[in-house]
Amino acid sequence: MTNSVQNVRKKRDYTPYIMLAPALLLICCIIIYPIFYAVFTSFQYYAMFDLANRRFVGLQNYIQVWHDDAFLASLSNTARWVIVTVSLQFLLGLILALILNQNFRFRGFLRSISLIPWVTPGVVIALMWMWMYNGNFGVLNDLLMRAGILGDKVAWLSNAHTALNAQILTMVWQGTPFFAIMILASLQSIPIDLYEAADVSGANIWQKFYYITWPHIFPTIVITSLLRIIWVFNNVEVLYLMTQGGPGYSSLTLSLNAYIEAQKSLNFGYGSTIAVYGTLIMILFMTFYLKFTRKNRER
Amino acid sequence: MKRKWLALSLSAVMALSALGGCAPNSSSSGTPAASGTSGEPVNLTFWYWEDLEGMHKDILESKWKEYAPDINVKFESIPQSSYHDKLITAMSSNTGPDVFKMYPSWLTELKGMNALEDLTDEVSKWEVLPEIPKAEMDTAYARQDRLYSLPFCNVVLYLYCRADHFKEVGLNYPTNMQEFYEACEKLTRDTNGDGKIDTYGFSMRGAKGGQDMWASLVLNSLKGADYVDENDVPMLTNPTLVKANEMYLNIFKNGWAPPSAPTDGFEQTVQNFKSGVASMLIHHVGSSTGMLEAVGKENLAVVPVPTGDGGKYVPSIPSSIGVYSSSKQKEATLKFAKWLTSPEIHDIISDNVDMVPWMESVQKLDKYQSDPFMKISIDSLPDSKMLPPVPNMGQFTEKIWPQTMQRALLGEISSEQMMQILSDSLK
Repeated sequence: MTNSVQNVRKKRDYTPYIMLAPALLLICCIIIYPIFYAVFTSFQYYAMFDLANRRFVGLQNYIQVWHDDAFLASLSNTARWVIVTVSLQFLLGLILALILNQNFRFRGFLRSISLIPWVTPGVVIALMWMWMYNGNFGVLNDLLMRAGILGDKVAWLSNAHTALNAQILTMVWQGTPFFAIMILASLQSIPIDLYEAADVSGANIWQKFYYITWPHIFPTIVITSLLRIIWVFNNVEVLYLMTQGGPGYSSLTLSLNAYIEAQKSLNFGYGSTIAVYGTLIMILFMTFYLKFTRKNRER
Repeated sequence: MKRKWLALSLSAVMALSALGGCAPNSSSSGTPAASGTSGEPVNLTFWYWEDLEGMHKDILESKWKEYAPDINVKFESIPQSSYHDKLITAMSSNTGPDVFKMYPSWLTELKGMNALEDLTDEVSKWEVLPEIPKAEMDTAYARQDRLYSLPFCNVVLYLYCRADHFKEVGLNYPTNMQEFYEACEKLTRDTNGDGKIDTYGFSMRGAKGGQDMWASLVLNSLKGADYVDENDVPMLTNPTLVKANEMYLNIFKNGWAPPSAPTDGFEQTVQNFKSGVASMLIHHVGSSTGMLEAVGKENLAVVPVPTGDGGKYVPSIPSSIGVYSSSKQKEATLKFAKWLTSPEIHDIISDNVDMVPWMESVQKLDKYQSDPFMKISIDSLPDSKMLPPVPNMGQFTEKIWPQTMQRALLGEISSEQMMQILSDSLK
């Protein structure tokens, strides 16, 4: 009797693992293996144009990047690109969500059209904004000059001081609806009784926002911001199509640098090293971010 | 119990499917769909990129079917912007196309991967060989002792001028660098009297692909100058070239090129010229049809690239046909590659795709001799030079040149520093 119970337990113990095996195998094939291979490649001199000399170089790539002007420029550009883009997307998304949460005519129509930037493919967005910013025929210059804001045409994407900011604006336009729709969904889940109780207690609009709205939407904001930080950090298509990281290094980010180095220059070893640094930075940032937001939530 | 076994069986099927997904692509080229030995049709894959006027795949496909009905060729068009990456990636995973279009400047790179079939012996017996000029064979050889690709298409750069703009300022078309810079200055002007410059002398390309335009105006300053010498030693730090480069950078710094020049690519530079924002542009015959439509015959003139103190540096952009060394259908691939380089197909491609014919019998045809864009290209062809086939030329054109040129245009680095960086990257 005891033996048969043990046998059943033994069998039961293995069954979940067997059932999970296919999923685990898939994860290993499409996630774990490429990650390990990229880390392995980052310790090599591995250039497709010089395959005969492929070799293990230890930490050489990891040291070399700190003497590379492009890498150093891409570090600060990445910080600006991610922080400014996601902050503005959040701020505008929050305002848009609060507006769309009110009762007014054409609310449904406005909710629908506000999603257009989010559902437009990145390639289309990049090309559209690239021509809007064009220094010679761009509609942006034309509008600003007609409005008397600009005295002369500006080559937005060809100036080191404006290129990255112009592309940040493009990304803000694209990503704001995502924040808005996520926050709107969260706003609609807040029980109306809470606001009624607050009204009875004589709370003003800011107090209602701070004590009722904000605590309810905060978890959504944390998750949405996390997703946007990852997506914006990894975004390559808009930057590559609009300026290829230029002029010079002025809009070169870590992800774009890794992409150009590996996919365009075919220097896989060095490109992988930049990608590994990028991943490490993201892991550190995410750890800090989640700890910080958890503390705020507990408070 | 039954349900458990069913679940386990499903798990096993899923696992096997996953493994299948990790296996090499079974439909990859290089693997014959039919042996060809048993009379069944042979299947080949041909990769190419579309040139400005397209490849006219339908014409080629029907001609090929007439020529060799027993060999099926799948024409696969790959966007030019990602062609090089895809080809190299396919080669490295042993799934490359049987026959493919390539730039001879990639030859060292592809040869280093053992991806190219040696065609020397096969071509030595080829009846079309006397038709191919030595200069074209030299580009296909790309400084190698053996032949690894067949010459296919070619274009050479020349100077497009807005005839109406030149007439307005009373200038002749430039023939040398002094006249060119003078034209840049005089053609930069305010045409509507609002006190702002609205027309620029030269449509400069500072983004990717601008190296050919740059080379034609900088490497002509020193006789025999090129990116590298015959021993692959970089030449760009020569003081004469540094000085000429400074003059080139000054076109932008003096305001003779549109302010957007540092990030202007092909589309923008051509648009600048077509719209009248710029009066001169260096490009090839591939854009002539669009130019004629936009500007009109009476407002468009073409002249050879200006002569410098070292003579002319006429960049050419040849493409060639490579045969994949791992292809299982050697005989069929060679037959197809040779057919692509035959006079009949050469004429079809030159005529339809706006490429410069280099076969003498085709060049002599009246339709090419009477076309000013073709004529100037044909005349410039013998003196033209292609990018040197150094192994990391892809890295140079995709990353090093545009980034370095843009930094120099914005004044972040000097002309000397720019040439030093370019030179170091070619070592």
